[in-house]
Amino acid sequence: MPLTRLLRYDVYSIKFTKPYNEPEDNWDTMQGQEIYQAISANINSVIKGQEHAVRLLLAAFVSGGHVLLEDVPGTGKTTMAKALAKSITADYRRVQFTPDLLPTDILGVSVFDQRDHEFHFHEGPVFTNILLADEINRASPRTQSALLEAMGEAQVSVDGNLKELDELFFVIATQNPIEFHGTYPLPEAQMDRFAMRFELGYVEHQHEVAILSEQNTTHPLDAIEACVSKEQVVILKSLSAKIRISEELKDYIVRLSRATRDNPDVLNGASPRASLALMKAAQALATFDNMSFVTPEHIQEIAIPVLAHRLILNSQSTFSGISEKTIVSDILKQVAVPG
Amino acid sequence: MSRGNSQLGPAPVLLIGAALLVWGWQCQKLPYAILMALLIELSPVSPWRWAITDKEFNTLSDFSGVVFFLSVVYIFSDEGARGIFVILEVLPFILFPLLLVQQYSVTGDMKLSALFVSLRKLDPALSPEAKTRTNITLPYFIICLLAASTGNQRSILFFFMVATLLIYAIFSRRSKRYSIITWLATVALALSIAFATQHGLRSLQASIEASFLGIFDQFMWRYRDPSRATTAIGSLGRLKLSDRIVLRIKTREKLLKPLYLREASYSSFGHGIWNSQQSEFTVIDPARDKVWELNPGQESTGKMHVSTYMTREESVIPVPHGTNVIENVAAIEIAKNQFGAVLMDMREGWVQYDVKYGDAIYADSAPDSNDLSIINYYRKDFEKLAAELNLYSMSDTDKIKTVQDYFHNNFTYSLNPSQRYPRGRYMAKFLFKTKRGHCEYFATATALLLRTVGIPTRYAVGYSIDEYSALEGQYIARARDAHSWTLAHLHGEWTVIDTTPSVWSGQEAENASVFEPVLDLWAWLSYSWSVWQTDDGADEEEENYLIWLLIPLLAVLAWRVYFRERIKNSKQGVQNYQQIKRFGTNSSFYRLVQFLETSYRPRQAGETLGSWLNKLKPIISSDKLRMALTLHYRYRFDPAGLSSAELSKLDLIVHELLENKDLWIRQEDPNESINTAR
Repeated sequence: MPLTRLLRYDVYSIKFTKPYNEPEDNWDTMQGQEIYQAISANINSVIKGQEHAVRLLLAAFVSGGHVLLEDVPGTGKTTMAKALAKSITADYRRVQFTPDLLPTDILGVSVFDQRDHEFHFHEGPVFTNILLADEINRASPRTQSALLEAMGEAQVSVDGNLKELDELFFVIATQNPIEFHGTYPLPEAQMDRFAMRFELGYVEHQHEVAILSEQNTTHPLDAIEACVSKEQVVILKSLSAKIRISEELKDYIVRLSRATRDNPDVLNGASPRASLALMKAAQALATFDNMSFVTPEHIQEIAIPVLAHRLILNSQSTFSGISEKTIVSDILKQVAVPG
Repeated sequence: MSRGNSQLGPAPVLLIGAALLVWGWQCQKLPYAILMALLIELSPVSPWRWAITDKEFNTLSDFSGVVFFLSVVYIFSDEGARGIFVILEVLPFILFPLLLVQQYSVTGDMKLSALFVSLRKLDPALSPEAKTRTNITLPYFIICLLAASTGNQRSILFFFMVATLLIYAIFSRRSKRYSIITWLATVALALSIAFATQHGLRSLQASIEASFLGIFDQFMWRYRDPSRATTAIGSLGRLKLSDRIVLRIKTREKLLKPLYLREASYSSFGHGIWNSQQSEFTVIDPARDKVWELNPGQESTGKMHVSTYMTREESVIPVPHGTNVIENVAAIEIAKNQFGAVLMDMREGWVQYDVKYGDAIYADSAPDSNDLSIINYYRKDFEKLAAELNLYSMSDTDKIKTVQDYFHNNFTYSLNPSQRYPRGRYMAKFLFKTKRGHCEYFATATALLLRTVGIPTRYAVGYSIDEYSALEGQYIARARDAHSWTLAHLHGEWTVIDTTPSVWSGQEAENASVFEPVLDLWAWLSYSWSVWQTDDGADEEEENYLIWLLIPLLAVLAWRVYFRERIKNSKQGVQNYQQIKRFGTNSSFYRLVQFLETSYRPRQAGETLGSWLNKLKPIISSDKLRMALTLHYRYRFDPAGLSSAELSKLDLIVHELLENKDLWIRQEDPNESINTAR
């Protein structure tokens, strides 16, 4: 199924004009929107025709969640991750996951130094700001799980020592659909730690032609430069956290999550962590739209990327071809939205 | 909701309707039955369904249960034992709401736990039966047939109607392994067996009823005929009298010796039958309201309150010897005969009256020749015995004492006449050979023996009372306490002479059932109930007590339905959606929404206002609408809210939009444009 069809969000693209949008006393979120637009424009100059995917990626990035990009090879997953990393003056590492990758290859290892007769910890690639875990489902579940603590609590326990990660820590994992050869499905606990999972899908015809033209001589990825500092991203994150959300919409989020648990086709529904991720991502979207509060549209926009990958269907539904996305999109239609 | 895992499938089409019609026809409820059948059979073609939850099924089932219970109480109090048939007859009414809701529900069946409360507490993960669903149409069908059977006029037609319905019910569920011929043959065989059985059962019932009525008549509810008493003298076999309480006496005095309550006395005996041929009842005019004086002017020394069970409207009532006044009873008529029997005309069931009595027995007529006669058949035996005891030479007082001592010392009490004797010889055998028997032997023998030596005697029957029930706080007499004794005329007045060994009542009590205390408790409860119900002058309260019964039951129902749910909720800590504070629900934007919904396209449940307006884009376009929506969203979803100026701005925009619709709504065919938009 084409990706664009799956990501069909019924969003009324309201162009909010300033006079009716902002309370007079609160202009600082304006800055938030500018930072977002800068990063977004930078990435879009590399990846053509993926504006919405970039919006989702940045929503996860700003809300402090991690992203799992799932698609067939060659759709630009790695390019997008690298474009984001290059747009920010932040530390960036990349790990290519292979079947023989070990947890120490990610977390780091203590090596005995012959000269001073001590163990020295050599930090692994996880000690960075943006970590690209490429083809994460090619590694064994043991190695995949090495990321659990880092992604969940932004800390790593090595040799009995607790090591804090940087306050800006963002994992972009890419994976091929699990039906492909040589892949290990991610454990449920790992899945739940990704705030969002979404696909890029094939781009439109004219966009694909544009990609060919641009990469004729050089790669646009080489041309882009960092446009936002790490501090600005931290400001953007704190602005997003201040976005107001009404009790009624929190209740709506919880009703959506609970509806996945009560669904007869679902073995294991969305967790409270999912509700939390949904709220934070909606706040990030409101920041991007230069709004000081969350609207129901924001919640509906990211409900499928936030909820769908956490559902475990029962075998009967799996075999009858029901997908997690259709279940969430049905739930979105059934659960009464405040208006 | 998963269909198809019902334990019971639905009944074939039209089956319930047919069963309801049979029921209505048999029980004369045809108009109701037609309506009910229509409602049920129209459900498959009805376009609407009710999305009723399992929990609501539980509540409905509980409600039906309470209604059933109330009906049982009401019908039994109204109809007595016949009530069981009435309850069966109205069962289709009571269960109809449950069936109706099931038929019109979305699921078409209900959880088994709706019917069985015990299943509701089970964990569905551990016990799969808690999840079982069932369809109640087939059980309802059976109930209809059962109900119809209570009204059937015993026609053979009913049997064939039921048979047809049953065949139809099982036809669709027959096993496909066998051919239809085999199936038909089996059904025919089953039907013939059923027909023969019900025919046989009917004859069996007739014969059992006849024999039971005989036993009943003889031992349990025998009506005391004041002119004739058939004794069991000469009968064979064990005489077992019932433990049932038939008499209750409330008196302030403590009984030091057995109290005799007489029902009747008789003067002539022959061949096992005492009778009083000259018995004449004279009606007594009440002296005042509810007061009948049997012996006007005589002084009364004692008073007691008697409750007795009357088996027919007019019956002799047990009263003490020397009864002078009967009062506090709403009798229609009271009459007495010269032998001291009191006949009361009132009603069936428990009746209560107060008796005032004196020491002397004035009511009985003076002795005449009948009280001295002995038929020749026995005369020889008694003369022989009188001679042995030297009674002829004694004074009257000594005669009686000697006779009492003789029976007391030489005879034993027994309810088991063990041997058959030639007809008429049993009295001689009792006197000279076996020397054992029951009270009728003793009383008859004493009466005849004293007559032989010139003392006029009569034979009295009634109850001997010495059992005090701590439970009831009064003296009681059971059917087995029925007794007979002798009245002897001595020094110008009648005296009670009881020669039956005094062990008799203890011996009778030994045979009592181990369940007697339980039965007594039940008897006391039902007696209290019937007394309360028929309390004289309490007719206008008849409806009131039912209300008193209804109030606690309804309270229990309310508690079940309402409070228990709340208790459960508070335990789970579930916050009700209604308790969420919803701000800005008075926004004027809803006037726009209402207008657009009624004119063009209603908003779906999962549709935000934004996406809904987006779908209306082909017909509407307005920046002002967007402004209004933005303000409305801030009013609704921004906890900071709107200032009053912004709020009035929103009102103004909405007002402008509604006033000038043609400015922002395109005047083309709206349906077409919406369809293309989709």
